[in-house]
Amino acid sequence: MVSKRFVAKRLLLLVPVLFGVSTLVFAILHLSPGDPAVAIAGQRASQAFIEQVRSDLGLADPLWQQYVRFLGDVVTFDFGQSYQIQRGTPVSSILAQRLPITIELAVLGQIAGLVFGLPLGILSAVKQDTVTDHLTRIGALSGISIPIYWSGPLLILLFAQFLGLLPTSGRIGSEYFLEPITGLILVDTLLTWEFDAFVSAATHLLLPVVVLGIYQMALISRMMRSSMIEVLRQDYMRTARAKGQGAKITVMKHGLRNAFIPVITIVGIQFGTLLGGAVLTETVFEINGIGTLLVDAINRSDYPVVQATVLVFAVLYTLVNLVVDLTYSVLDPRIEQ
Amino acid sequence: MRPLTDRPAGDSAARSSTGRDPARDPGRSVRAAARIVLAGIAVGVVVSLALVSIDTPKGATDTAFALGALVFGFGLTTWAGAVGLGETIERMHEYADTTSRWTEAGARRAFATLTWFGSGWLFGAVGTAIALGV
Repeated sequence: MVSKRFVAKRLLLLVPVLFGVSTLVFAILHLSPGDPAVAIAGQRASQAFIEQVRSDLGLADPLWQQYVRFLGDVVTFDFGQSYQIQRGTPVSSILAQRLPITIELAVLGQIAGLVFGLPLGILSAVKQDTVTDHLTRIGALSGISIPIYWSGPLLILLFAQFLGLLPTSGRIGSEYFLEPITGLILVDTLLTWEFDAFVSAATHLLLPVVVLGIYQMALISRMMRSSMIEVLRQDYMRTARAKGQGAKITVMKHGLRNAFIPVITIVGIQFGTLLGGAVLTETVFEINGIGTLLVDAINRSDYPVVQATVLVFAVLYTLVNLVVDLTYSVLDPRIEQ
Repeated sequence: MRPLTDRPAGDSAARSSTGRDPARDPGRSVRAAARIVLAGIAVGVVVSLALVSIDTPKGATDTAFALGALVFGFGLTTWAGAVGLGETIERMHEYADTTSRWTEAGARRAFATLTWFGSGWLFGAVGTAIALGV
């Protein structure tokens, strides 16, 4: 079992991570061009009005005072109100609305990556140096090499424009209106027993999930292949076969679990890429998740929204890696955390 | 700048004449950290004053503070990352058999140094802002 001390240490690490990330975001925002006061007041506003807005927002104070105030707000999880995106709305409400959308997309992308990447990796390892292996490796290399902002529009062109099979953007058909329960559209449609809406949501999410999943699949299959090849050469695998155990059972029972550990590591570390990918995917497919929110907030100098969004990304990334570390000991009890 | 902590315990060259490992000596670590913070303060003051010549006192000290926050934030985040993910990354290097000399302890030392330096820079910028009456 994982020691409580280990979990406590990893949870404590959240404090410096969040402190550091919030400081970093605060600094970058204040060094980047763009004035929120001008953005709010408008380009044609008088200087006096702009100064008034700046003073109201507290931006006229020395930066160190703004920083101390900001840290105080972060500690109490009060991210303030949006300057621009939804003016006056608490940032936490905006995040609560948008976060499930991105989480749903990222999780589905990860699942797609695992579902296709693991069998391909195993197949490639078991049939090492055959045509199947070569094709899988070429596929994986292509998947890693193709950026989302290229594969996304290409898939839209093929499946939405030419073949007309899938919708181009959004999360659900415009004829459906769902009162959010969990915020996860697939879950909500199932909870409200609206099967047609579920099918619509699934078809809408298919392309974005595939785009996100391709990269994950490619990486996972490559990792799984090399990990499995190493495991297949171990003595205990040979012993299991010598005892008369079937090849498939040996691979699935003894090989998979051991080969899975490096793959899990990759899954955790790549979660950041997945979130970054979600930003691009949401932009390409016009999905109103936290990714598009971040892009929009940066463009409109909405400091509180940018700061809160980046902090949420940091928390998610740290927590996912904590879960990954905890998974090691479940997969292999010999690993002492 | 000297590393703050985490020198390998078996490093005999790192031991002082008293036989104690200097890296394990808290007093030495505090002194090293203090020196780095002082250097950061000096840089914070110099950058603030240099920027005053091209900007208003508020603009100059704000920019100097933001630059210091950048260094401090980067140092702290990467330090926490090295502590949290360092062993995993080391294992990945071992597993992938890549010839990397990156170590968790080395990364921790480097980023701790950067964090102390950044914090000094912040204090330097704040001190200059107060002194200039911003």
